[in-house]
Amino acid sequence: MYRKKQPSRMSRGGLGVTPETGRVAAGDVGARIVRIIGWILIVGWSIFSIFAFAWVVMTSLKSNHELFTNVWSLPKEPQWSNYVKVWTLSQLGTGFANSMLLVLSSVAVLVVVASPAAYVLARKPFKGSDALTNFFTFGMGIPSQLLLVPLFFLMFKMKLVDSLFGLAIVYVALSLPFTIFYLVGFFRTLPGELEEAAMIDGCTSFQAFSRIMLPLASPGVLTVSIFNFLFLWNDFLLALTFLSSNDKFTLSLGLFGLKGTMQYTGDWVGLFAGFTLIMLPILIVYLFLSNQMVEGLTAGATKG
Amino acid sequence: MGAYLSEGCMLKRNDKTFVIACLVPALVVYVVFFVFPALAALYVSLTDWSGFTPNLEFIGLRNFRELFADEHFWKVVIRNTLGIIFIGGAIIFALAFLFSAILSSGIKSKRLLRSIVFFPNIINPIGLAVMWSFIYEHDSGLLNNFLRAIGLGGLARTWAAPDRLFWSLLVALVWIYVGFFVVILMAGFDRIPNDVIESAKIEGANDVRIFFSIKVPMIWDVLTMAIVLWGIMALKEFAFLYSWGGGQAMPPEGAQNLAVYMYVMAFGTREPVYRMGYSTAMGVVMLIMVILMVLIVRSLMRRESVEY
Repeated sequence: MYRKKQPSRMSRGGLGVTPETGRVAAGDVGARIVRIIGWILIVGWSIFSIFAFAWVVMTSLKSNHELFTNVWSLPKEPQWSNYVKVWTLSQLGTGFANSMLLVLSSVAVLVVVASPAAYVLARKPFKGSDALTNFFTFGMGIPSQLLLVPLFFLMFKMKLVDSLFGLAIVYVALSLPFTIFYLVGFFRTLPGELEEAAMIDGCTSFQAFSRIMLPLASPGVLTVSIFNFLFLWNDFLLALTFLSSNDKFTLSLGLFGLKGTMQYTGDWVGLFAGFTLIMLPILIVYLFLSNQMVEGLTAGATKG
Repeated sequence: MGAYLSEGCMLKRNDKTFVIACLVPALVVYVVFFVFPALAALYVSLTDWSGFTPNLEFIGLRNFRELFADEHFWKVVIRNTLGIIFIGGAIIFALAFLFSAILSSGIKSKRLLRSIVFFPNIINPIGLAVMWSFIYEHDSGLLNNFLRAIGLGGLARTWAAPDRLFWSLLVALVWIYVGFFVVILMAGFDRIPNDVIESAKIEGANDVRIFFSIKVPMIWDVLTMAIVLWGIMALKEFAFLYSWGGGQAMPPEGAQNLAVYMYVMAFGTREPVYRMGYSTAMGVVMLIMVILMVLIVRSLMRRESVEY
């Protein structure tokens, strides 16, 4: 935390370092200008973002006629029918249920499969365990586009195409490398004494894992679950490739379909209602957990 | 309680079963549904295959030769892909540096601003495409309307016009991803111990000097990783661009990058192409680009790490 000569509001509650006042070099003026420009830019940027999202939500309650009469006006009376229409007619309701079921079960299976493996790789060294860890994490560098075609036909042969169950398997498989990478790192940071004590007390390895180490690792498991939930909730490429019938569509596909038909119907407000439906659950969680989500999404990046 | 020794032996045997039981499910899923298709892709890229027939005709490197001879591939697909990676990347990192430097300097609204700037990263890209397509809409779109409202109607444009679409989309992509890199760089800056900065100040270094000579070198590892991460993210960018076409057989040229083009070649809907080998060859090109980016960034960024 470094502090320059700033308005007194800023220097309150500092670490007891009083800003020097004597020295004003030429560079300081430049630094201050850059700082002011950056400050204006970031505040403007934030205002734009909030405005854009708020505008979409607000407009989703207008009628198309109102929208095209004046894009800035508030809705005269909220058109809840926009939501009813996209929820039932455009089947976003089904999409919502499918997405929830698909993503929650994928994340659950992912945690069940990945955390024991990560625990063993991190805490039970055996011949080749490092190589195996690398083997798993290597997948992080493989673009999913590389395996799209062969995976599609593998699933096709197994009759798992156009099935939410099949897509869940794909989600779990493609999320494994990062999840294992992250959890191995997390298990390594845990202290070993408790585990040893448990083993000496006669716990089996499984008990030491499930009763002691897994609860200790729960913050890491939570972070990686949040990451995977967001990532899979917003997935489009895989859902588009592996699902084809309307009744199995996820929210992404439903909204994509709605956007496609929009060019014939001109129904922007319906489209905005669909957008609001897809954004709202994430926004609500974000209001409470924004720091965990921000750190969760960038976790692998900074703690690698 | 048995003898200590025998108990120890039992534990060891238990351990082996436990280790295997823990690893097998993850290994099976990973090998069958990830590693095997990835390896198969290397072979599929050397074949002519429509997908639904069992016969893959081996044609050597002909897919790659055709791809590299295709003018559309270079002039549109590769141009857009590299444009996003390099031009988009330069703008994103310049802004991310500026924002994270300001936000890490101990202002009060740090977390709030960070959350707002990051927000687009957690929103469904199809939703973002919906939003931006209305921002850029010609007649009643937000941007043109805003320009007219503040008396700059002369600047109103058809933002999604073919020759302008790529740049319009690039602006939107920058807006989406800046927050991600602001967070990463901030995590790096916040790690730097206070006393290093304080002592530099006492020595008389100004803010700019401190930033470039102390702060940036101290987050070099984070920066290297962030650049690699951006390269991979930018290369794989798909949903926002593909959905711009709204389900057309082929999205407009400005929205075609490698990821979009390879998808269309394999699974494109209205005029089925089903060129599985050709499409997978592009997947292999993407893999090679990832490897090249990692190697180049690593060698360009190699330097002695700063210990602290």
